[in-house]
Amino acid sequence: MTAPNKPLLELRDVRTYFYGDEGEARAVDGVSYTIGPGQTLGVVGESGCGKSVTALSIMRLVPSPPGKTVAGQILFEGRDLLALEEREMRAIRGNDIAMIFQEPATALNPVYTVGNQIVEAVRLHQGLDREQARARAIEMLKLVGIPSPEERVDEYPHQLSGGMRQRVMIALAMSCDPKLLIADEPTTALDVTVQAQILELISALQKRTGMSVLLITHDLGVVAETADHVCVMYAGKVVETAPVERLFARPAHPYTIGLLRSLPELARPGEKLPTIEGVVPNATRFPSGCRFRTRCSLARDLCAEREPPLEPVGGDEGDGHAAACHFLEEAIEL
Amino acid sequence: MLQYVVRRLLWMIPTLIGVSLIVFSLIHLAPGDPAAVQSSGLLTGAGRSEGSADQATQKFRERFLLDQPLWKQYLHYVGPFHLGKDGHPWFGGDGSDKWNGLLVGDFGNEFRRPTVEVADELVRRLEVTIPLALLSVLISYLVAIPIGIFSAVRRGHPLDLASTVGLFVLYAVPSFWAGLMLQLAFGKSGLDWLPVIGLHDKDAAEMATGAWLLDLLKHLVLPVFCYSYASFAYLSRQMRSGMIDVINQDYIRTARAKGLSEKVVVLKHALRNSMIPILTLLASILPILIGGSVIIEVVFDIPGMGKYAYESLQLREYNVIMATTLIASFMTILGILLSDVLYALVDPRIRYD
Repeated sequence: MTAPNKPLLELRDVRTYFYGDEGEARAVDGVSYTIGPGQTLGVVGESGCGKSVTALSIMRLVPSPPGKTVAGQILFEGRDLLALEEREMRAIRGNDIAMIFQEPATALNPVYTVGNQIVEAVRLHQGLDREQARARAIEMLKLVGIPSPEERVDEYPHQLSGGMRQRVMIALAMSCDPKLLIADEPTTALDVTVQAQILELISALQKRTGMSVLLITHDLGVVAETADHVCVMYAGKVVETAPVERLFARPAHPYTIGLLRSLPELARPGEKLPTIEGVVPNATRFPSGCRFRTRCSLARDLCAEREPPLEPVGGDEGDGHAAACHFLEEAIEL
Repeated sequence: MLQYVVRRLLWMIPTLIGVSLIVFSLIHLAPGDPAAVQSSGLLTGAGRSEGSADQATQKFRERFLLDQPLWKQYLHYVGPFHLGKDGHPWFGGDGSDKWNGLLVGDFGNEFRRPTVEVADELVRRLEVTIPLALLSVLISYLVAIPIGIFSAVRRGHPLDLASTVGLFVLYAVPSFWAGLMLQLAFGKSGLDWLPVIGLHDKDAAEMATGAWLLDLLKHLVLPVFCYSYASFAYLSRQMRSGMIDVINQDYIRTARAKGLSEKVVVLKHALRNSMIPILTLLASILPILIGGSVIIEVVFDIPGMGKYAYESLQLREYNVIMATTLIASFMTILGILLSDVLYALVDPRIRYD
């Protein structure tokens, strides 16, 4: 899908910092990306790169203290979410923007029935009465493929399997017809077979409702299957962004290249699987200049002095492929 | 569930028998016996001659089987057979009083006032202590839970810090001292706002219902406060830490992500999950209040169970000591059962099948 003129969600230079004993942790440090209507944006990166905190910043659910979104704009349908009153933000949460989480085992309240938890959201945002809301809950459970929803609606989360719970989470998220679904590692905690089912379900629901999806994952395979456009994040910043086919065909940033090389699917049999040396730096002590330089084979003096901006890659600039590296030409040779 | 409760209630029987055995042995191991107390003139006044005192002591011992071996005394106490001279004919009695003991619901009589049945007196005492204890538990919870929730939700807020310090100071103050100070402050020697002794004025019997109730309430203020203030700190800290634990859970984030207001998130989603540690405490607070009432009841001269137990210990009233201990054990077991049942009501994951 081509990028439409008016994005549904646009992040402009969002910065979310945490203030702890070790000082200021710049978990999200100048992230910008856009999602068009009906589009799926995949955000990938290692644990601790700031992808989840970015998502929580959109929802304004960063635990505060210690966290705070200190700068930037988050435009949703042209309105800056960061400037809204808490009351206005509540009307958007769960209604226009819904979110599902990584751990279906703990994301549902153990002491209320799944029906109760869906009914609660529907009644809050859609103003339905108890009967209608219950009917809606059953309808949603049916929609996400839960067998005998009339009975399941009165069950407690602990009575369901992990996959079923994630379906309930999706039903809950979808119950108010959101325009944007934020899925934060929705399949990470699930069995491989269940993973595929959940991803298919999200795609099917997206086709049906035309919502946009922000898919956060560390799994490039998941991105390849579901996303239209990809953002690669490293150490609180976007290092590369591209349409999905383009990213897999011609990755430009040394980090992205390293990530793709380390996919077992792409490795040649008999060879040792390549890895990226080192670990993500601590968010309180990022290296100067390019944050990836400590793990990069191309790094030289310039990388320590100046931070590379996100610049368009290749000839045609219209496809939205950009990367943040001083030595893109060399990186492509890697 | 019902089956479970019945099973637990039945288990009480062997437990209580065990308790009775231990307590019975312990009080008989302790030096001094009721006959000695009686004859020492503590109650009847001095001035008897040596010989008649010995004779009276001997008669007293025979009457209450205190001259018998301990195992026989215990079996007599548990029942159901009366093992004395006028007891069941199977055991050499003359059959005029065949049955006796716990198993026929007989707690025996007081030594000091042989016509008074311990069971009757206990009922009179519990009628005073139980409402007092329940009222205190209720007030403890009503005060502590909101403070705990507030402290958890607004961690680090000046009021959180103030309540933490204030409640810990209260917690550290011994209740007998607090009771005396309150009596001095609010009684005739001080502000003269509240009565400080007993539960009723002398002329309570002639009062109209409204006035009688008001009189009772006035008498209750200080004792109930003394009963409950220490548990404010204890309970509210438990509530606070439970709440903080719950508020960091994923499902709280889910609830917020639904667009629920913070009030609903805290009071609906977090509260019920953080009640479990608080319910555990209910089990331990119930018996403590009834047992711990000794000090308060003595300080405020309230004719409740605590005072009864205290006096009976001084007088070696074996039957009363046994009865009050058994009631306290019963309350403990009941409290644990009650909190177990409440768990299941609060958390659907807990089931007893």
